Amino acid sequence: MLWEAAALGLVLLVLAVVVPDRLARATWPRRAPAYALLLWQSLGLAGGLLAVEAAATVALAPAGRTHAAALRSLGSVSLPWWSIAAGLLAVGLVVRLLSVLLASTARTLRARRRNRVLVDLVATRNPLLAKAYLVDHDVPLAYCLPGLRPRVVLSRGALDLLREDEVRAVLAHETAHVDQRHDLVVLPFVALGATFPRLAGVRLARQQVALLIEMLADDRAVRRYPRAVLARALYKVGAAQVPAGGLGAGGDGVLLRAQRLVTPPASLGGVSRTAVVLVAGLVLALPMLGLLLPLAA
Amino acid sequence: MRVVTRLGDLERAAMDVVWEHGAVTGRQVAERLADRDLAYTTWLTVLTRLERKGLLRRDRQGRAHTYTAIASREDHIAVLMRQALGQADDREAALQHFARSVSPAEAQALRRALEDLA
Repeated sequence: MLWEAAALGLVLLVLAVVVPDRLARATWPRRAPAYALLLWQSLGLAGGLLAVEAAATVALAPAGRTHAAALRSLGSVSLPWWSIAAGLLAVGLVVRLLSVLLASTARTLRARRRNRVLVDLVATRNPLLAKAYLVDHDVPLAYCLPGLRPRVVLSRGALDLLREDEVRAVLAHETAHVDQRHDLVVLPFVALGATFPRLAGVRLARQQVALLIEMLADDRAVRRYPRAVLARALYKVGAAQVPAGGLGAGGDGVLLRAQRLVTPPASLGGVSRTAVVLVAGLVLALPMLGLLLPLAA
Repeated sequence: MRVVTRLGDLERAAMDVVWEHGAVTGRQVAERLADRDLAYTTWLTVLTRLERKGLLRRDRQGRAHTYTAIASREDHIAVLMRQALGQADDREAALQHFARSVSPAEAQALRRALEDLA
């Protein structure tokens, strides 16, 4: 009677542990970051749904042969304690996932607004760098505040450090983040990470998603500026920043990105791209397929 | 939207005057920014808004109110940089960096990769 929950659990294990590990090691995502992102998103969504579904399946198993039948007879059957516990777990998971998503979204928006108020207060503009907000500080820094009222911020230290074409390439990179709303891609994974902070697969997903959006922004920037220019800017900014504790964590991403710029890998072929989309669709279909399986008595 | 941008612009101008001159009255701000051709009461509104935002402090001096900056421009810049460089967990979603700092070993590897290119 619980074989179906076990099967779901097994699929979940594969999606949450095995696949993230393989995907994080694979090199093809570098050749098609947008497609890799799609796969991570489908993994995240399917993983969350399957976790809830596995718990719900255990809860419903004593009540009927299919999910639908079990739901119908739910009021008339008396359920054993473990079924009720599993039901509470399923409901708890849904509540937790949604509330963490809301809370981390609110925290993110608040942090962004706090910083934007300061940027607007102290930054200056330069007609030659129309999109940038310039902050008078020595530490070389380039970042963007994405959102509905986006800001691309450069410090004086960054302007001193970089040549003009490098500055423009950095601006193109940051503008790509803003235009493509990469913040919306990152947000659900931050919530997933806050919900399951100990799961290695979730941590990998966060790291990889963060790296992939950087690659996307790099790709956009090198449409207009030479790869070498952007790579040099990466090196200069990455090597110059004052390493405040723990900040070096993203460092390997910088190295990977620079290598990718210097020796660009061949873009992923059409057949492989189609295959990735199909796999992503299949992964998303798994929770639906799980619902169709009978709750065998 | 336009109105909002304009207000932000006025707030900045008023803050610049306060930072430059220390304690100022609304009348003084209006005089310093006379080229903007705005009524004295408009500047009073702007100063009140800045006080509400926690950027200015208002003191009574005789019959007039003076406004003083709570923090210098440099202080605000320092806070901004701390926020941007800080390691809060939400930072990665709140703002997106171009490049975080790398270790010395990585910097060397980067340099070698660039030399190959040249």
